[in-house]
Amino acid sequence: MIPRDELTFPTPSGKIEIESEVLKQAGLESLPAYVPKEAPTGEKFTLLFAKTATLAQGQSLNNPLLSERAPRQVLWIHPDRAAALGIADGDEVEVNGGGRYTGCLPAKVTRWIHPDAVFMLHGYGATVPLATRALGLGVADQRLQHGKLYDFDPAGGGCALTETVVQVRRRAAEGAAG
Amino acid sequence: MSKYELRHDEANCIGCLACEVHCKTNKQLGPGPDPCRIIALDPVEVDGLPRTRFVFMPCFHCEDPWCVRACPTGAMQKREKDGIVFVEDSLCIGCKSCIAACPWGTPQWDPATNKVVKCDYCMDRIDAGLQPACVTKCVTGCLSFGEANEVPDPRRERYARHILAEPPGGEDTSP
Repeated sequence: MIPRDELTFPTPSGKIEIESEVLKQAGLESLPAYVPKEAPTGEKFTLLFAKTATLAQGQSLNNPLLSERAPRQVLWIHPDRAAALGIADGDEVEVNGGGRYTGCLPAKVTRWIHPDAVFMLHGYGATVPLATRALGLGVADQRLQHGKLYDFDPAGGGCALTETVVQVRRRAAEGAAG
Repeated sequence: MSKYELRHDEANCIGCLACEVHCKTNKQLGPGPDPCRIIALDPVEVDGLPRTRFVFMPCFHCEDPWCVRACPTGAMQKREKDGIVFVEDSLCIGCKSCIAACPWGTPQWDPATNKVVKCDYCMDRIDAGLQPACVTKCVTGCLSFGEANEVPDPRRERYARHILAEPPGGEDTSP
C-alpha cells in the first residue's frame, strides 16, 4: 500500500487534473459548457438500453438455463407520449434508428420513464442460426444505434450510444392497409 | 411444518435469479420445471418512488400437505425426522395429482423424466451438512436456512438501528 499523501498519477502535475494541459494541447476543452438539445417530439425518442442480471451480453440469451430466465423484451414508453401516438400497453411497435434495420416489439406503457426516452433491454435480436434459443427473439438495440460507433468522446473514447434518436410507430395490424 | 426455515430477506434481494438457476443445476433439471421461483413485481410505487419487489416461492413444507394427501402411490411424502416434504422418485407415476392439489403450484412437472420434481430443501445436501443450493449460491446472501429460531433474522436489528441511528423518514436497507 502506498501512503495516501504519496500517491501520484501519470499527469503533468502528478495529481488528478480538473484543468488538463494534455487535453488543452490536443485542442480539447477540459470542462466544456453544456450544450442543450431539443427534446425529441412526435415519433422521435432517445433510445436508452440496459442489461438485466441474467443477460450479460448477446451470447447469454442462448444459454439453456439463462434463456429460460430471460424476461420478454419490451419497449418502455411514457403514457403521455404513447397516447399521442395511439400506442396502448402491449401494442406491437416498430422502432427504427435511421438505418435499414427496423425492430418490432411490444410496448410497455409506464410512467417510470422520462417522456423524451424509450427503453429496452440489450442482448436480444440474435441472427446467428446456431444460436437456436436466441435466434429471432427481440430487437438488437445496437443495430438501432445507427452510426453511433463513429460518434464518440474524443477525450475518453466512449461511444455516445445513449444519444441515439429512434422513430417509434404503432405497428399496423396484419392484413390492414398501409 | 418442517422444523426448518428458509428465509428470504427481500430488502437485500436484487432479483438475479441465481437461486432458481442453481436449484435447477443441483437437481440436473432441463428447461421447464422450477422448484423455486423469485416472483418480481416491477416497478411499483412505494412512498412515491419506483421499486421492484420480490417474493421467494420455494415449497412451504406444510404440516398437513395437500400434495401428500393427493398422491395415490405414496411417492409424495413427509419426512418423519424433520418434516421435509419430498417425492420418492421410484414411486412417482407422473399423474400430476400433487400439482393440482397444491394451493401454490409448487410441485413441478419434469418432461425429461415424466415425473414430478419439487423443492425438498436439497435434503441430500442438508444430510451431508450443507445448505440448500439456492442459499449456498445466493449472490447477496439474502437467503438463509436452518432450524427455525436459529436462522439469522436481520429484521429486528435493522429496525432497532433504524429507530436509533437513522433520521426520521430515512430508509435503511442494509443487513
